Amino acid sequence: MSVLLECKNLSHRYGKKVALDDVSFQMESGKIVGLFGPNGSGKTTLIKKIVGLLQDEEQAIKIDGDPVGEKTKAIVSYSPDRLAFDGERKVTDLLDFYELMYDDFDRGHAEEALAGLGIDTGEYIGKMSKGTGEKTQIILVMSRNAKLYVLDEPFSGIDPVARETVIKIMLQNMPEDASILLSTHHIQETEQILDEAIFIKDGKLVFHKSVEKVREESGRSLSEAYMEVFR
Amino acid sequence: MKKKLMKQEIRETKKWIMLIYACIVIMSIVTMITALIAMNTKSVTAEELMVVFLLCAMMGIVVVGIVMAGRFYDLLFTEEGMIRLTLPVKNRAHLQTNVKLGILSIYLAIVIYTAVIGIMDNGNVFLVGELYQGLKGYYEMYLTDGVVLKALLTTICSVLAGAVVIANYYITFLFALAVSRRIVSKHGIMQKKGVIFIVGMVLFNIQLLVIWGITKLIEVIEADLSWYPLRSYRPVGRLSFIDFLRYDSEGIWIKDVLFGLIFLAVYGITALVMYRICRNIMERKLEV
Repeated sequence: MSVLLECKNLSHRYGKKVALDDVSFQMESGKIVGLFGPNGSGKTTLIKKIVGLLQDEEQAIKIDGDPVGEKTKAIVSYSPDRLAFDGERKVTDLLDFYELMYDDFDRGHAEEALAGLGIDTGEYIGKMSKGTGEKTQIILVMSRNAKLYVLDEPFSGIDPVARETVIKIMLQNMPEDASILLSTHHIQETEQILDEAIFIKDGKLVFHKSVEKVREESGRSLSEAYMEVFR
Repeated sequence: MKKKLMKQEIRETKKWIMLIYACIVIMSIVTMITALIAMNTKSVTAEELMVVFLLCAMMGIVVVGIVMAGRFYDLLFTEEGMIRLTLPVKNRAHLQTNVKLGILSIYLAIVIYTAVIGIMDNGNVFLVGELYQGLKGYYEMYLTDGVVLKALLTTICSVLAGAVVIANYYITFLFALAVSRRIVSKHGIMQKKGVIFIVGMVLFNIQLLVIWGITKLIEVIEADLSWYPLRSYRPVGRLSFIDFLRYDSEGIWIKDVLFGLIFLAVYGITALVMYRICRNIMERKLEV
């Protein structure tokens, strides 16, 4: 398997505050990787660097061999940690937007997935519940045939049943050679689908291992290992 | 991809912009109707109403600018930016698209406004025609040759200067937003609207200073060119350019063109500088 995402000595500061400190890891294609850490540990900063919302002047990140830019944005599908669509827009407007802006967007697939969840394409985003809005966002993001899906807290504000549905959407829509970088606090629900886990604390990488190895080494589940590291 | 971005921006703004254009048309028509009533009835109320409607129509042009700059605000300061800034285009493409579309929308609003007012005012299409007629009449009093061409040149120069001033104001809007975004990100300030307000006020005052400066400069030049008495006799062929402007009747229209060029240069250069800084922020310093 080839290296899809590479971070080498990645650092970031917000003024004097260090948000990321010399983080290095590699992510292969075809993997689902969980990004875990307490609030303020640097997960969202790392994700923002990967998707290009924060500048990477040192070019510490390479995606499919290229530094973050126009080229990498075309192969990365990103879902922010909150609903990023204007409430005045209808779902159909968002479908139009994705269809126009992304060549790899599969509209038919998105409409099918939306209908499967009973989401009306004529509905305004602002009138939806938080959970329905999040589901819509995930469907749109996952309906792209991207190489890397970066999902920041996709389960926030979603009930357990819907969470299961979102996981299903993720797995069904993910192309075989694509990868998912998933930042979440819901370790138990996602543990079974993860190949690897990255633990991050105070902007520093604690470890990056396969989930199986974590279980083997610690003799515990990933969520228990998380509690041990961050408690 | 840039074309797609442009198409998307048109899609996003067309509803509002069309609505404002319609309001401008209606307000301009109502303005002219009240003007007619005021003229025929000598009614003070009608006159006052005419001014109100006229201001409303003109406000429409400003609102077009606000709507378009609002798209840039959404890009830099709202959650929507998280999706738009991860589109597979360079960050500066968002700025370029907004500048093009914003300025064009404002120009179109002005064309609509002047066309409606112009048509209703003795069928004179566009107020530009009126400006040309005025200049032509004025030059005919002093000049003998090529009055039509000279009036046309001065009109073109004035319209261009006006267009550049308007573009400059719009870019100032975007500049204020981009600089505010940079300040907010760099210093981790949470009160983003406060930062935008302060930066906006500073730039607004600088703009006032620029207007004051140019007006003063033109006043000084005009005074200098008008008041000096001819010290000794010199044939026209041997006059310096300044003396030519002072003493030759041809200097009248050249001065008009020159003043237009001063506006064009000052506003054009500052707009370009602000645009370049904005572009640099978008490309290298933008963090949301």
